[in-house]
Amino acid sequence: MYSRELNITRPSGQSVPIFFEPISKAGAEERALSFTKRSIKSSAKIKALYQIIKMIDLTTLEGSDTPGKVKQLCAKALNPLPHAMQSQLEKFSGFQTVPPVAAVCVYPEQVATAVKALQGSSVHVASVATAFPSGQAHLSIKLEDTKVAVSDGADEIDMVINRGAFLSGDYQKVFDEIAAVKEACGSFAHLKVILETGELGTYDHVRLASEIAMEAGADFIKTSTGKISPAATLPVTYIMLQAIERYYERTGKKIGMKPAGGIRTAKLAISYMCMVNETVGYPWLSPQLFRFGASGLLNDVLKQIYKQFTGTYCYDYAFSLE
Amino acid sequence: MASKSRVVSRSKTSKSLPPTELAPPLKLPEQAFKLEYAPALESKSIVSIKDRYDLFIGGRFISPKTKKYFATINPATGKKLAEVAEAGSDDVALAVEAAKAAGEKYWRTLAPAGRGRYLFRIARIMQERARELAVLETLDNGKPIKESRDIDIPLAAAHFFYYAGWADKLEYAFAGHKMRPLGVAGQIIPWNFPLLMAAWKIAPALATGNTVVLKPAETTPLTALLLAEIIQEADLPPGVVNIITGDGKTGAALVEHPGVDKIAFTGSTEVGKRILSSSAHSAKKLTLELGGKSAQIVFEDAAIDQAIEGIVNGIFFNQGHVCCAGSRLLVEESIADIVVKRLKKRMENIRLGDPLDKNTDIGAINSAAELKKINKYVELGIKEGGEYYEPTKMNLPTEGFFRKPCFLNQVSPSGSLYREEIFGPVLVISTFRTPEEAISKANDTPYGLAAGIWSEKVSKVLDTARSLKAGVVWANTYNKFDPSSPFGGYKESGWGREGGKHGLLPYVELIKPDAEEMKSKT
Amino acid sequence: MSKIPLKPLIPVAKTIKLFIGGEFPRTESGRSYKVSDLKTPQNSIHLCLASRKDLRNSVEVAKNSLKSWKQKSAFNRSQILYRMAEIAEGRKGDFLQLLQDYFGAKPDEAIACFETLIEAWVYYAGFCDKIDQSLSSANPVGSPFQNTTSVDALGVVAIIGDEKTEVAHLLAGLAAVIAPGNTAILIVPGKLGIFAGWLGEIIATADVPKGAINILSGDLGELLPHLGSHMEIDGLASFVQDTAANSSLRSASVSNLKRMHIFDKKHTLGMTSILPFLEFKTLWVTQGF
Repeated sequence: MYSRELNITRPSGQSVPIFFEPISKAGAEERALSFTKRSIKSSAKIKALYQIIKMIDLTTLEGSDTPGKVKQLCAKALNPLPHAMQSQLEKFSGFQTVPPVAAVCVYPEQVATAVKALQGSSVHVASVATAFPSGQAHLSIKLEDTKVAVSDGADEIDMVINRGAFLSGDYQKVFDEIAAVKEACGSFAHLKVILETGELGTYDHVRLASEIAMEAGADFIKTSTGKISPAATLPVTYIMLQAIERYYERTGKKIGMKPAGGIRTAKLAISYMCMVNETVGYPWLSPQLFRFGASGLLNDVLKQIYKQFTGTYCYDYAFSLE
Repeated sequence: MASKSRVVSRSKTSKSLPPTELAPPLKLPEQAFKLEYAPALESKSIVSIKDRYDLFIGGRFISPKTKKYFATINPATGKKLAEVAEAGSDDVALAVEAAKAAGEKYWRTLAPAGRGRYLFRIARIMQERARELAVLETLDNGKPIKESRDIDIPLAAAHFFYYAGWADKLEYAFAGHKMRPLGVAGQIIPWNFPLLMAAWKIAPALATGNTVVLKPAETTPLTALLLAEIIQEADLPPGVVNIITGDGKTGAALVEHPGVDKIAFTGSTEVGKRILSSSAHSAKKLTLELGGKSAQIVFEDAAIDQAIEGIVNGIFFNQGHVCCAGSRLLVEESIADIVVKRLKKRMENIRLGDPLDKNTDIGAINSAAELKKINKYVELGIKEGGEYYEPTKMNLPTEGFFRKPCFLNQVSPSGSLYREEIFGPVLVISTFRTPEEAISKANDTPYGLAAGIWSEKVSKVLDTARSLKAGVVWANTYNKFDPSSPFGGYKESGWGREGGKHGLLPYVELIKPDAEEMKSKT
Repeated sequence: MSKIPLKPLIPVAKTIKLFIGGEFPRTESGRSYKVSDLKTPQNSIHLCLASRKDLRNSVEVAKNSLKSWKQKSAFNRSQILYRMAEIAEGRKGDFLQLLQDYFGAKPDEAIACFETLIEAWVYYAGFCDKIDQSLSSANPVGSPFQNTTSVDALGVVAIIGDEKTEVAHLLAGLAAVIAPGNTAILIVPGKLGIFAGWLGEIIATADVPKGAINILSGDLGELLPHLGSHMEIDGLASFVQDTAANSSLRSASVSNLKRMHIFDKKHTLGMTSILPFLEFKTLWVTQGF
């Protein structure tokens, strides 16, 4: 990889500088996993739990998704805590209403339903696009996919990169597709670029794909579709955060980070927050620049909030499934 | 078409801001979240510290003939933890006799597998009482609980477990050689890894059939004394391990006692040389694990971010109180600025504070004397022209012995700090231009304990490793330890190896395969 | 053409000098000492009384030749040691003669001594490329690390005999020391010095790199303190049986923590004779992509 000229150019003919540094796997993983040793307790933990909720992209991406299911998900996105528990927790001093999540993430087909359900709220509607999850379609179809989602009201687009092109060494194609989708998003939607790191094979590839995505116009870079294992891991997120940090140093532009898939516990989410805090720094701990792509995580966070106030754990079925 | 319907859809949402060029603003308020790390203190209640500790001789705790006791303090507070007996030469003699008798009466008459059983048992009890040992280690030594919990204690137990298995397989270690134990081993250990060093010393000595008199360092005796309790609990025959406390005088008495057949010392090169001098006239076998001024070589083709982690871990692990600390950073000139810049940034995220806090990365300096020595070195380094840097936002606790981690850049190879062991969180940085220059600079020291190499180019790593005069070379990692991995230095960093099968050698006489027997077989 | 016969034949006596850096210099000090031929006293010869400076020069060349000797393949070192044995066989007569004339050895004793020497050289010739395989280890530290311990030469080693040392054992020790890649300074004091020439000529013709083996004759008492205190000597192989001399050597060697090994009276073959002159290097390498 290192000996090959990347030679990526913009449509204007301007060449795109791609910086990458080799990654040493053992050291990167050791560092990334060291954040699981951080211990966030008591009041600091409650604040962190609330912040996690604010940074969640509550997701459903199933073939079986229906308007009904999406409506239920949106209801939960707006009011994550069931009313019964809300009234129970209100008795505790210091309890504040649990905020809505950052966004709801659905297939393009469900965007209109979500937009309607979330109307007037702060919750964004994110739509996966570009022949999600494989990305194996012609560019014209990917662009149409994007445009339809945007026109239906999605204000965040989670596109997948063309892994086939990437792994065959056609980085120009990867770049061009991202740039085209970015253009299609126009001034209406934020672009999150899914690298699908579980298919890239090496950390060096993750780093390179991150660089290409950022140069091509990604607002966020995102680990995974959730359809491939492994999805998000601490180490892969660490590699991507390093790329973001370097890009920021070079350009002054802050690119967001979205680990998605596999983050199911509040404890793990807090480890991610510690990692963000100690790498790119706390300015990234905001929904503007950091998201958790998750579904099950929200319930565990709520459970932990309940535990922090009451001192006991509640039944799992105290929370709604959606 | 798209933009038209888009306008309609956006008008539905009330909080949206007018779109800018290509990066639309999010509706969410832009406020960064300051993640707090509230104190997460490990509970002290798991360990009960006695007011006073006696000497562990012949399987019992007995009061010293000197009738004297000295205090051991918690370096994080400066307050006394307990009083510990001061062993005089009579006490040393008693311990050596106990060890000698135990060797003849129990230890050498036991089947090798039996020795292994006891060692396994000790390992298991250490694992069961791991948290207790970890908290006590942190209290007495000042190291972060994160390290005592995740490194010192598990490794110490693993060491016993590893050598337990060797006890009945010694003839497999060295090409058919059988082994004969040396007798009584007098072992003197330092304060930087108190329990781990006790394990490094005791486990191979017992596995090979020796008996032991161990003297822990005077500032950190408590975990060794808890180990004595564990040894009692394991029902080890009395006298096989004796643990006596005291300062340098006690150590000297142990070294000079004629009943000691073997001396194993870990500590400073200065004291090591003194021990060698005083035992020059005797037939005592000696192993020494001494000081170092180990180099970390960062080549331009390194994974820089991982190298930064390795540099930080190499010098700030255990407050830099590590004989193999990567205290000299040699960076290829082409990436020196980048490395220094990222190192500075990384150091801002180091958390220094209460060693019992699980979030603490750097704990307390072990003693007032060490702190003074380190500070003096830093002053000297600045005077000699080094560019000093320490984290800007870090605060030191008001009590106890603490010192900010730091580095001195542009230190010339003739500088005092480049050449002398500081044994604290002080890194010196220098540059090189070619691999050959890096190697000769790394080797340009009387020490030869360890070295680090950072490069993603395998051939460069292997050639550099081959050329370095160091007993342990870490490539793209640093400060890794394992019971199966031999540790020890070239040149003035010591004699012999600890760990692995090579760690058996210091405690035995090898018996050659019988030449006559071999002839008759062929 | 007429010849003037030289009768009785006037023999050309051999001058025995030091052997330093592949050359045969006289001692820089210009000093010598006399060693007596026990049977024919008129054949007594003068040997070089090596000085501290000769020692220093030897150490310097030995250090410089470390690279070429150590970096030869182990197989190559094996061949060179075997070559030494081959050449020695061709000079067997000289060796026996020296033992008989200067040490009063009986013919069968001299032959036994020679046999011991050849046995040792061939033994160690075949050991060079087995040392690493016998003593290295792959250490099971687990993922993501590859961890191996391998053998490295110690460096410059001085091999010291005294007048009671049997020459075959001393030279067997020499082979044990150089087999793993160390370079050597052989101290042959007193009468032992008469072997300096015999040995030097073998080394000079056996493809041993210049300076890898150096030989000094002289006075043990004079050289001992310098051997101990010289900072560039990494190891001492002592065949001296005098306890006091050994402990003074050990005391003097504290300065740079020289590795010192005292050989038994009878040197025997084995790995235990090589072990004291090795370093072990443990290399941790990370794995992963």
